[in-house]
Amino acid sequence: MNKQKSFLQSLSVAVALTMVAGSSSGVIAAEKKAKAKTAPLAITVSPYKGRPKENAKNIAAGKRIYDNACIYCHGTTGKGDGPVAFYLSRDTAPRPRDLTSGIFKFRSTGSGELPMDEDIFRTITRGVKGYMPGFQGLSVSDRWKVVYYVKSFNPDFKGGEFETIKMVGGPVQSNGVSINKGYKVYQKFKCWECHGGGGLGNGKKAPDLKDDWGFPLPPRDLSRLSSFKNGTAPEDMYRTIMAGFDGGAMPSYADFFEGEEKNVWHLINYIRSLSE
Amino acid sequence: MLHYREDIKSTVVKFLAALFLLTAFAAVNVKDASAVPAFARKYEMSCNVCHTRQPRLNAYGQRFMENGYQLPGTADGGSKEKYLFGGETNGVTLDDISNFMALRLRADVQQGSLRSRSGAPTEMNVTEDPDIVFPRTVNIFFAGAAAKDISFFFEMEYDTQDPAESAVAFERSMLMFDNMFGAQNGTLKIGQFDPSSLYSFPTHRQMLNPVKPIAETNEFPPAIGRIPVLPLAFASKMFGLSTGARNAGTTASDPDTLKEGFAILPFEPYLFNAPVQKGVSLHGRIAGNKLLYQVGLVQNNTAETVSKTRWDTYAMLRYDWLGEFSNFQVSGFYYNAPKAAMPTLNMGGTLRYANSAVDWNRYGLAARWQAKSWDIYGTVIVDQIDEPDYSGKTAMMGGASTWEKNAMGISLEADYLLDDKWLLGVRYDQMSSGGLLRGNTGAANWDRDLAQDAAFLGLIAKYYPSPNIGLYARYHHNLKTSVKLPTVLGGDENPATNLTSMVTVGVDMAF
Repeated sequence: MNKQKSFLQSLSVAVALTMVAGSSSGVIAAEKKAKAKTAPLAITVSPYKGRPKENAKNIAAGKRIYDNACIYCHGTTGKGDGPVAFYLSRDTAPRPRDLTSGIFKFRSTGSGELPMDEDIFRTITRGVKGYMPGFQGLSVSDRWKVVYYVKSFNPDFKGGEFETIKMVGGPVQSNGVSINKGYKVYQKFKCWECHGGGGLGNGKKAPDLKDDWGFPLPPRDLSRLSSFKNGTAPEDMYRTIMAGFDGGAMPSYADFFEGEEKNVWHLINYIRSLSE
Repeated sequence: MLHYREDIKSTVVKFLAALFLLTAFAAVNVKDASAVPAFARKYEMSCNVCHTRQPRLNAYGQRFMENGYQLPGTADGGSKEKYLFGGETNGVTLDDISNFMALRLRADVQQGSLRSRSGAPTEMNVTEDPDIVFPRTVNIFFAGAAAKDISFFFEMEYDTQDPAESAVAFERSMLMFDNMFGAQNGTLKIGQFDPSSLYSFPTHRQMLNPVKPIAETNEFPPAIGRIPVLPLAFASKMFGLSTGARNAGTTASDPDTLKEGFAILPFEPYLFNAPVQKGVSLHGRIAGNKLLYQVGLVQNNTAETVSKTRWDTYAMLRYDWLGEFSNFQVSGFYYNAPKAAMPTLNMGGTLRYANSAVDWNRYGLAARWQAKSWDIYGTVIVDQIDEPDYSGKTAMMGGASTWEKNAMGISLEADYLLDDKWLLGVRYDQMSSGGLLRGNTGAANWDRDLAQDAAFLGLIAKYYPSPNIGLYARYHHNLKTSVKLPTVLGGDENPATNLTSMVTVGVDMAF
């Protein structure tokens, strides 16, 4: 009994100490920093500060960072066959990306195209929830160097010019009318076939979905917003719907929404309402 | 009456086995268990990024630990995200504690089977009764990066079965200064930790719910009640050694010295391969990414009559090779502990000490190969002590005693991931023991060695309903039960030969 009491006392003291340690006078500054960190990245190219030149020296520097930070999943040759890749998802997708394949999930470019540098930078920075950590622990300059090295795995990156998806309009206020419109879009484009009627990822096609490498790929449970791999801000979701996930089961809906892009924003409001 | 008791035992064991199976079956249907430990929460990753299956670290997890519990190749600068309470004017902020704090619960049911037993079983003896405890061990972790290139790791462990008054202790408590000579080149670690955490054979902390040796250490030779199913290569392997003559005459009225451990248990993890070693270590990468070095000091006490502070020194080098869905590593170490043990005899109930404490050297070689479903690793560890000096003493004072200066342990394990949830393993442990072989060639039963070798074969099945919850069953079989039991020199049945098998089912959960 005394041991248990002693243990609980130790635990209480430890928790209290941790809470006190968390207190800080720089409250507002920290808040602002946190907000800035979670602000959505623009869908189009933007002039990031601290971007070094893309040259042989920086590609070599990128390799050195890759060999420490990325090699365990993406492998020595970038094929996604690092020693840890197998443990991440032994029997289901996603495995770490094969960087030589030219197939990238998280893009702001059209389906089948290579991603923008900024897309790769964003993925390195944010990571992929559940699978790849965000590398904010690398400096901005170092992240760019890794981008350059990643591009060196596929020669198609050289001299390529890629067209970004146009963002038409912007987020609309979420209210009953908008959500109802979004629901109709969800029905019209048969999102429920994969994601299910309630968005729980249990649609009739769900059990048969596979990625390009033949691994089962369950569709996202839309009621768990925090698990979205490509970001949760409306702009992120716009990019997901319009660009799709190359290599995965989610197609691009850019053609379907041509001329009625505003409906994408209603659909986003509907999807976000599922997790409220 | 005896039959009645056995029936009860049998019923209890069957009930527990059924309960385990039911739990395992129910767990199959647990969907999307979302509880994950602190680092997984912080970096929003699955447990399996760092673990082959928890608690076993994979190559990335090893690099994560190597880099001061930060993502390999990075320095994350500590937590900047804070929650605000009470408004902006009078607010306080709170770090996301769940990103720093984790809980581990371990519990098991054990049943040992004995070849023979003399006298009534005591609390410390291996009994044939199933040992039902939940939880057996509770661990609370606080760990992460406090600031750029400064990280910390505190682990409190509460052993619910420890008879000591205070069963809560810091199992690991250390501060780390990372990236000291450039990225990945130098991490300084200060505090209490297991020096072998970077060695190619997983530490005993990465074994599912290791079982400690249970022993009466105020007797000599110690009455060892339960042999641990830890890797025997890590064990001290030496019989007849103590932490010092200063404890001669220790009685129950002197509990502090008893707690320190009078006898060095042959089955106890020791020196380089033991937890809670107080010291300093420096490790980092050289020659690109291929080589990992580690040098360190451990603070301890000499076993001399007048005990002094002793500084153990060690050095370890590891070579890493990465391939397609695979990695291979090999490492070697040397550990020196000056004046670390006092050779000790029990002659008719009276302790006889050598003229001086002996130095203790340990050498080890380990290799590990992980490829897709396979994880195979093994280690050979050799221990060496000086020749005990009983010169000038009569036979009864130990002058006629026989000592083996060398000991060797081998541990090999192969694990196979059957699918995402099932892991099967087989382990072989062998200990060629050293230390006190015979007390006096003229005494009764003098031809029976006191230092008994040991060899166990273990079968392991683990089921993971969720990456953070492991249910397991293990069976360890003693391959040396035919060896004669030593009955001389006050030694009771030696568990190395007396324990025929041990069955354990348990659970290891981390939140």
